[in-house]
Order: sequence, then structure tokens, then C-alpha cells
Amino acid sequence: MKTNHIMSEKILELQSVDAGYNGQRVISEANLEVYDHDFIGMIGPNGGGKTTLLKVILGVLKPFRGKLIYHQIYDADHVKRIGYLPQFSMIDRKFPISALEVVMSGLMPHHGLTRKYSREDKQRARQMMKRMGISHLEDKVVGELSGGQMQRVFLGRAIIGSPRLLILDEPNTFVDNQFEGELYEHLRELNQEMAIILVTHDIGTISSYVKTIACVNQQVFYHHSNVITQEQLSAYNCPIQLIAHGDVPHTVLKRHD
Amino acid sequence: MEIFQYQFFINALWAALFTSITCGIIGTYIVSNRIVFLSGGITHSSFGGIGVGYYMGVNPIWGAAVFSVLSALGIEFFSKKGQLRHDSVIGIWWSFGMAIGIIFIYLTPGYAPNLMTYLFGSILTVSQGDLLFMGLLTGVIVVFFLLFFRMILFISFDESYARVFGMPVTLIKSLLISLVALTIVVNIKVVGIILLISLLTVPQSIANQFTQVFSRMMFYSVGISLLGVVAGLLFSYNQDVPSGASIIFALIVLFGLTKAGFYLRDKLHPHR
Repeated sequence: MKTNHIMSEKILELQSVDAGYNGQRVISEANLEVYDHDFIGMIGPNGGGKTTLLKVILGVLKPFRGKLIYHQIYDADHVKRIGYLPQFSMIDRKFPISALEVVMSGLMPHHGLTRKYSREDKQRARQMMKRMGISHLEDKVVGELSGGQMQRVFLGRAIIGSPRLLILDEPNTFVDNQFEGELYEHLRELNQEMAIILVTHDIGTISSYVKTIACVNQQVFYHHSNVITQEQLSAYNCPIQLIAHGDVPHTVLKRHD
Repeated sequence: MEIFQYQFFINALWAALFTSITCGIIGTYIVSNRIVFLSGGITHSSFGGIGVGYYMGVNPIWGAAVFSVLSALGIEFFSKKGQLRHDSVIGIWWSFGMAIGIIFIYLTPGYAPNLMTYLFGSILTVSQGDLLFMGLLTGVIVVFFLLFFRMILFISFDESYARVFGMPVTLIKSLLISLVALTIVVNIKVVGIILLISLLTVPQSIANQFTQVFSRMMFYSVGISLLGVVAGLLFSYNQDVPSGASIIFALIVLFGLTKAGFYLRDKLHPHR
């Protein structure tokens, strides 16, 4: 995996970042580099700072100390080429908005404050919904969608602006197994075009899709492989359960390459 | 009908139109963003401005305008900076504004005329000056929503997403909450402080049964509140009961009827 980095361009890096809220440090001395075509599985216990780290990477939380450096992440319109799929719980399911409008809103950053959506925008949003396999849901209100359908809509919003880096915050909660499998296949395909950071609890399932693993528990340990053992996790001070799917954890993780 | 010959009734109809447009649009924003309680707090704290207005001998509505905009921005500011629970801050401002109002009205020598108007509203006493004020705000709100509609929808639905892309979330939200405050102020004359929250929630809840699209919800709400206000006005005229209360009563009846209608439809055609 290391060899990959030599050919790829760096997208962003964190340099000894301390971050948190109200003076309380959640993340300390975090270093991370993200390159084109990376596929990083980000794991760690609840409250370990995964979401905080994401906020720093997304540029919405200023670090107390250290630096976040973007490398040519802005496009010609000065829009950050990052796609973001927030946690499911962050969305108000009663909000009166249609699936198509949500997907289309991914283009919003490319427009001025007052610009309306153009005919092409609508066309692009329709194509995106087709790609996600949810064309028939265009006019549905988000509240009427199932968990899996909703995640497809949000994935559509995240990638419609052709990002260089796609960040997904626990996309596998509240979705059925079938969608989860499809999601990972989508991500594998998208990884040809963009780097991906996938935050998850379930390292067992994703390990065959991700290329590297970042363990986040106050500090960040970068593991240059998608194979990780319970012993290594302990060494990284990352007390998470390896969830086995009908097999012993180590075996599950090592079976894939 | 004879009542159409009276200027006060014509004024009341104009007021009904402006009320419906301002409350229909702003109320949809309020309901969709779940800031009904915040809006109630702003409404009641504006009473402080009315009291101060009486005391200083200026038009109480100007006092209410200053108080409601300050409390709208103040609630946001204090809950963020003071690390207090948002709804607790609302409760504090709500009662503080009312207390200030009562104190200043008692300090004002003599009888406070029209006090009841501010509490319970009186659409039939709306003046030409009030109408000018209402018309102006209606224009501002319509233009603001026409210009920034996509942005408002985008920020309302997923604020944190908008922040990732450096959208001016705080600015837009501050402008919107100020418009909420001003909408409240110009409509105090129509239904009064105590009943105002219903104009910002009932038509929208009725509309929400017919549509779940933000833009349509705004249009439907305007139409529904116009229907409710005019019906309430006529009922008030016929039965000689206070207009504010009859407007709210008409709206709630409409809500009950539509709710029952949809319930029956779902019962009879469960697969629709």
C-alpha cells in the first residue's frame, strides 16, 4: 500500500493536531496524510474522537494546535472537492424535502448565494439517482425512504460534485445487509476516481474493501494495511471489538487480501 | 354585504392578506426547522418592548420591534456563548420580557389604552399606518425568499453540511430569525401576543397534510391562513366575539376537519 503513495498526489495532511470542544481535548498529536485513491477505514471506540477528527478534516473545527493542510483541494469555483455523508442521526427525517432536491443540493456549493438550479443540474441529479439505482424515488420525501434508500440519496449528494475525497461517517448504521454490500461495491468503484475515508464500527466487514486502517482513540495510529489483528489493535490503544461474521475475528480479517 | 362599505373592514382584509403571506412563509420555515418554541419565546418577550414603549410614550410596536429582534439574536448568542441549554434560554427570555412589560406598564401613570389589543389582537382596528408597515415587511420577506430560497432550504435541511462548504450559515440564519421577529411584531395587532404562535403553526400543519415539499407548503399555508383569517373575521363580526380568538378558532376547526378527512380517506382506501 505504501508504494501507492509514491505515485499519488497528497490531498490533505494533519500535522500534530490537538482538537476538541470548549477547551477539552478530544484528539491529541494527530498526524494523518491522505493521498489520491486512498481507501482508509477509520475505526475506534465511541467517544474516541472519530467524529472530532472528521470535523477537523472537513475544516469545520479549528484545531487548538497543529495544522490542517489542504493540497489543491479547491476547484476552479473555489469549492472544496470533498464529498461528505453525515451520520444518519444528524438528519431530520420530517423535513419537507424530496430525494431529488437532496441529491441536487450537492451542487449548491458550486453556485452563488442566490443562483437557482439549472436544467443541467437537474439532469445531473437525475443521472446520479439512476447511478444509485433510485430513479423511481425522485419525488419521494426523505421521510418516506427506508434507511438504505436514504443512504443512497446522501451518497448521491456527496459525490455529485465529483469530489477528490469522499468521507463517510458510519454509513452502515440503520441499513440492511443487502444495501451494505451494495454500498461497499459502489465505494470500490468510486475509489477509482476518489480517495475515501470510511468511519465504521464494523471493521470485520470493511477490511476487504479498505486499503489501510486508521485507529482513532485520542491519538491516531495509521496502519498501512487492511489486515489487522486484535493484538495490533491493543498495541494501537484501540479497544474495539472485531466483529466476526460466522468465523473467528482474526481469520475473517486475514482471509481477504 | 354591508360590511364591505366600511373602511375598517377593507383595512382588515388587507391586513388578512399581509398576515397570511408573512405568517405563511415564515411559519413554514419555523415548523420545518422545529423552532416553534423559540418563536413563542420571541413573541412573548416582545411584550417587554410594548411596556417600555408605553412608559416612554412612543408607539409600543416600535418597542416590540426592538425587543423581539434583540431577543431573537440574543437567544442564539447566549445559548452558544453561555453554554446553556437552548430551550432554557428561551424560557428565561420569554418570562423576562413579559416581566419587563408588566413592570413598565404599571410604572406608566394612568390607564394603558389598547393593552388588550396587544395581548389578544384586534384586526378590525388595524390602521393605514399599520398596513404600510405590514406591506413593507411582506415585500421584504417575499424578495428574501425568492432570492435565497435554495440556500434557505439547503441550510435548514442540513446545516453542518452547508458549513463544510463554507456557506454563510450564521449570517443567513441570523437574517431569518430577524425576519421571524419582525413577522411576529407586525402581526401582534392582528391576533395578539398570546395567540400569534397559532398563525405560525396551524396553517403549516394543515398544509403539511397535503404536501411535504417545502415550497408548496409555503404556498398552501398562505392560502389556508387567508381562508382561516377571513372566516374568523366574519365569524367575529356576526357573533360579536373578539377577532383574534375567532381567527384561531376557525383555523383549528379547519385543522380538525382536514385531519379527520385524511383519517377517513386512509381508512376507506388504505392502499392509496
